[in-house]
Amino acid sequence: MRARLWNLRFLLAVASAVTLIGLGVFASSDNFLRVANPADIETLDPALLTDAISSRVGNQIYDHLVEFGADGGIIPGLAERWEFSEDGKVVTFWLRSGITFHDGSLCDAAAVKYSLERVMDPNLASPNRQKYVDILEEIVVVDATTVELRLKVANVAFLPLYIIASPACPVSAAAVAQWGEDFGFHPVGTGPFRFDEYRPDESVRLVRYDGFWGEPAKLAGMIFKAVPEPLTRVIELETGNVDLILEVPVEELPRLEADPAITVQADPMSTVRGLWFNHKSAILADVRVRRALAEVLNIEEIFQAFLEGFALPADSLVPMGSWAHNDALPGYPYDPAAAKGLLAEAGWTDSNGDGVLDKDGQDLHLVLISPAARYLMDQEISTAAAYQWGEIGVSVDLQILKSSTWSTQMQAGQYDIVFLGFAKDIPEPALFLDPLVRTGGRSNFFGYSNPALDALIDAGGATFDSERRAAIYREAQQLMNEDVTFLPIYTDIGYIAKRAELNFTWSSTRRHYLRDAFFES
Amino acid sequence: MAHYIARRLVMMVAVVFAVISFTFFMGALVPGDVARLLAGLEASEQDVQLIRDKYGLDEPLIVQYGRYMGRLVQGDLGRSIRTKRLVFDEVASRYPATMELALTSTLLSFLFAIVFGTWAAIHFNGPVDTGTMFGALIGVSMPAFWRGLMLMLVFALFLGWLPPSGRGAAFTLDGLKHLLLPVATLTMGGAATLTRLARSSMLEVLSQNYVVTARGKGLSPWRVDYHHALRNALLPVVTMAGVQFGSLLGGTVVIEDVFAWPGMGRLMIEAILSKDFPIVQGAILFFAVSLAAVNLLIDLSYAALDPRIRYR
Repeated sequence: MRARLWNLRFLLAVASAVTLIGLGVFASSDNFLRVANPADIETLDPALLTDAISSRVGNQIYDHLVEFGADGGIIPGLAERWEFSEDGKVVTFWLRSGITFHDGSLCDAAAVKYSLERVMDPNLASPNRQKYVDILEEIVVVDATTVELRLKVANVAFLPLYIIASPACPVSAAAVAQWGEDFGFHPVGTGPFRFDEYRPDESVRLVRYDGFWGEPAKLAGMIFKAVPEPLTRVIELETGNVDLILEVPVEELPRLEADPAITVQADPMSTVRGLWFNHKSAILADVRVRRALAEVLNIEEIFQAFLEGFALPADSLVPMGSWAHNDALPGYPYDPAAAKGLLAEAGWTDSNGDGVLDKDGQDLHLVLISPAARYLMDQEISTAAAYQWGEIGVSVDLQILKSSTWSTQMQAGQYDIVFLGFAKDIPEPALFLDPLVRTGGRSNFFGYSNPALDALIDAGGATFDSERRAAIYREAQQLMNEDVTFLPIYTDIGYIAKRAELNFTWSSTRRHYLRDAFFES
Repeated sequence: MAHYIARRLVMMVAVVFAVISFTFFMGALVPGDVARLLAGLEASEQDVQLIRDKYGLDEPLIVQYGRYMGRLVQGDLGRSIRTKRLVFDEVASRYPATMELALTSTLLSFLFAIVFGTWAAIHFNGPVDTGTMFGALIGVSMPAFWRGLMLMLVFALFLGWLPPSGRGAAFTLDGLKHLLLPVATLTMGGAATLTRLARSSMLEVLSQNYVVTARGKGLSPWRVDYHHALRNALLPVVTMAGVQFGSLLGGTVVIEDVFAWPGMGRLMIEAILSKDFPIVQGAILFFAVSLAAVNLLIDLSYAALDPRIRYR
């Protein structure tokens, strides 16, 4: 009996002891930049990464052969100069000499060749493989610091599309051989910070690489924490536990802006969000129906209700900040009467008086699919659109779906209208037009095919004169506007919030904004 | 006893096998194409096919199942489709964090329930009873998400005593500081349920004949209440605490999200959303084994608490 009582006391003692676990020191992070990300990294293998968070961390570890400058122009990176052949099919890069990877091995022409060929290796199954296979004919090492890329087709936007992209970052062949499939969590590049430690769902720690070829970083290192709850990220920043958050919940902006210890920066992003038509749908194949839907959509009302201060109205697939944006597009004025007229002209009238337009005994019924909170205000805007279209007698089956279901359904063409957004690091028109609206384009989930537009996109890709190129893209946008290819709605304004003592200038289009960050003392 | 444990262990293997098989086939019903999710919206069809080939996603389900089971019995849980890390590493790196949270909060809830539940029952209808039950009602009623954020606002933002989120190294002061808020949030909910249970169970025992006899015999009230009555009243509380502990082992997505705690819940949700089946399978395997083990321990604890219970 006594022993049993002792057992019970022991149990209670253990319970109390657990509350007093251990002693130790509070870790400090001197001159370390601490960033709260909304998610953990997926991989730091540049050939495999597809998500924004991994690429944010990867950008500190890896370098490109050339980079974007502050004004959007192309400046030297690992290559100090480069040259296109007359026909645009051979690009030669001259690398800086003596560049080393974080493991001490040399980053030379052979390393560039190795890294690009690795992306194209079927065994790696990189999601970017086909993109490179389609354009690279051969990679030739001319000498230790000269590498020649021979292309299957000339592409004016080759540098921004293929070289200033994570798969083209040189990686250490020795490290890949050592780590194999685990390379993504033991990454070795040439950037100003080298990988130090990864704690799953907690943090990634980078430290300054002293052998960096460029100007050494002022920070001793960076810690990227994974903090999924938006309000927790804000509190982490307010308490000074992190120095920077890049995904600021817009409803917390007023509070953050009022805090003297915190600075908020804003910049329009290279994004276009909108409603896309399934051009294979028999109803929507008629441009008059598409235009009518455009003219009933009250964009002004949608902005007032959901987007004021967080986004800018979009009118084209080429983002507003782009040098190729067509500023003279007429848009689709809100005019329900004209829209009804257009629908009547196309044969859609309410012949049976049930409030829904019909033609040949078939109702004007459309399935609208929208993801939930994948894009800013996506489901709210889709709901508003469904309501506004319903007002003139269009029957809309609104389906708000989980991202995975939404994307599967979109790719299978199981929709009439889909809310979809596109984001690119830079407002390069080819990045938006090529995959989305070219016949058979990689991301043309809409069955859209317009030979005149294809011809313009091809011409744009083959014109080296930048003014003529811009004119071609402006014409392409005009054509899309007339054909009502899709309904552009908004371009996001990006916000970041940081501790006031952290100094750097954020830009939504520059990749390396964090590299020269420092703390003011 | 040894025979009983051996029989339970064999049963455990069967249960885990059934759970794993069930999960495997259920996974196939979840909509969405894992290869496409992994490759991103802009990858070409060829690249997506390459990924399908690499992971054998195109093969008949039964073939995939056979291969999975074949590897499993050799101790190979495979690699995550999303991160390419070993499933064992992914799960094993989250498990201690979840264990830390689950164990601490269950023990605290249990302790709290015994102290306050018993006290409330002994002083039935008195101010202690009313106060405890009022507190428990508040604990049960507040959603964990809200509780967590409120605690964070007060103790991290306003008072600045504790870090808002994250996990420190285990067995350090930093680790303890990080642990306090999520544990408090969990314990408030868990303790509330257990305290109410301990109180009602104790009330029932206190009215039994043997308790009255013991009092009549002139035993001290302390000995009657805390030795004779409490031990019998503990059985349902231990059972419930065990069930709570078991469910906490599966992770607490809400708490983990709010406090950026790197536990099993987040791993599992991320894996389910991205259809990363090897991870889902691996996590459920760990979960099933732990739950079965916890249940066995609860059953064995009955014998320790009640001498009339013997296992053969």
